[in-house]
Amino acid sequence: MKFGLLAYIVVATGLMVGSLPLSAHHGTAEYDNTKTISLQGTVTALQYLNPHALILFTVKDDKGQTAEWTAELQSPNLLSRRGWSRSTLKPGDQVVVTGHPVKNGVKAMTGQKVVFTDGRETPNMGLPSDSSK
Amino acid sequence: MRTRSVFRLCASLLLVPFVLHAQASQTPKGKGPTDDRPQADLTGVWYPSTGSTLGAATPDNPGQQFVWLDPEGKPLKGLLPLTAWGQERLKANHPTGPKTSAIDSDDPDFQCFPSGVPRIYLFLYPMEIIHTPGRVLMLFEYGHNIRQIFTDGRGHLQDAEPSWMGDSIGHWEGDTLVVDATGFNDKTWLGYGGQPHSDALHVVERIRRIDHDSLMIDITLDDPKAYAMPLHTQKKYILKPDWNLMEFVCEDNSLNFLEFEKKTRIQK
Repeated sequence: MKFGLLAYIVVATGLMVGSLPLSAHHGTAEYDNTKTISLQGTVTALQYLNPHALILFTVKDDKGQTAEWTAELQSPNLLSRRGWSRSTLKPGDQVVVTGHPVKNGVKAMTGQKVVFTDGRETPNMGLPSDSSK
Repeated sequence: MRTRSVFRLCASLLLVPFVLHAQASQTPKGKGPTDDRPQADLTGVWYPSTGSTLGAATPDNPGQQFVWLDPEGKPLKGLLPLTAWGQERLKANHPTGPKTSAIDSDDPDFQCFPSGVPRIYLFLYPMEIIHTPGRVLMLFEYGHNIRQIFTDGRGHLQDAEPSWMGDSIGHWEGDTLVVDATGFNDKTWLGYGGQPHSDALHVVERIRRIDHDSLMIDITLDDPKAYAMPLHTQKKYILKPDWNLMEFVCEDNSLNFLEFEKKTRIQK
C-alpha cells in the first residue's frame, strides 16, 4: 500500500535522525534500523506510560484509506527530562513522525523525531545532552 | 484495578523504611562508635555516561554494555572466558537478538526482576546516592532497586539466602568508597547478551568522584564457577544537581506494554 503526502521516505540509518536507543525495558530487535520512514498523520492518543510512551496516529494513503499506526518512544521519565509531558501531543494534532519500521510488517515504528505540520517542533527525544561526557 | 495498584504501590513505599529497618535489625551490627566515616561526599543524583569510558556509546552500543578487560588490562573481544559451566548457562539463555523479540526472550530484566550488580549500571536511568550513618544507599530509578552498602564495620551475612542485588559491605580508602559484594543468586545476567554468572559472584567496586560532576565506578568481577579469570570494567556517572528520581514501576507498565510487544514480535 502506498501512502500519500510524505509517503514513505526510506533512507539509510543515520542520515535523517540519529539511532536513539529505546533503552529501558527491551531491546531494538523488533525494528529494522537500516530503514527510516517519515509518516504524516493525525494523533489519536499519546500513551505516556513506562517503559515506553506510544503515539497512536492515523495515516491516510493516496486513496483516502486510513490506517492506524503506533510509534514507540523513549520512556516518559527520559522524555520528561527533555521537556515532554503527557500533553505534548493531543488528539487531532497533525504531525510527521520519523523513525525505524518494525520488521514484521505491522504498522508500527520507533518515534525518533516528531514535528507538527505547522512547523513547530517537539522537544528532543534523545538522552540528556551531556550524557556522552 | 488501577486504583488498587496505586494503593498497593503507596502502601509498599510507606513500608520501605520499616523493611529496611527490619533487615538491618536482622543482620550483624556494626561497630558503632568506630563506624567508618565517609571521607568523601558521593551524594547526589547521577546519570550514567555514554561517553569515553569503557562501555562508551557506539552505533551498535548506546552505552548499554560493558567492555570487559582481562587481568592485564587488555579488552576481551568476542566471547568472554567462560568456564564449561558458564558456557552451558550461556547456551541455555535466550537474549534478544536479530530473531528474538523481547517478548520471546527469557531475559530476567524483561520479567521485571531486579537487574543485579553490575548490570544495574547499564540502564540509562539515574541513580541517587545517599549517605546515612553506617550505610551508603544507592537508589536506582530503574526498577526502584535499592542497594544498602554497610559501612559500619560489619562483615558479610553468613548462610544468607542468595539475593538479586547481593550483600554489600563498604569501607573508605581516602576519597574512594570500596564496596565488596557477595551473596548473589545466579538468576541475573551481566548484560543484554545473556552473559551468565553464578552464585559465587564476587564484585568489588571502587567508587570515587574524579571531579565534582563525575563519578567513576571501577568494577572487578570474580566468579570462578562461571569465568576462567577475573574481569574488570568501569562505569562513569554524571552529576545531575537539578534532577529528582521519578517513579518507574516495571510490573505495572509491563502489562500496558504487553499487547504492543505481541504485535511487533519478530516472525520466526
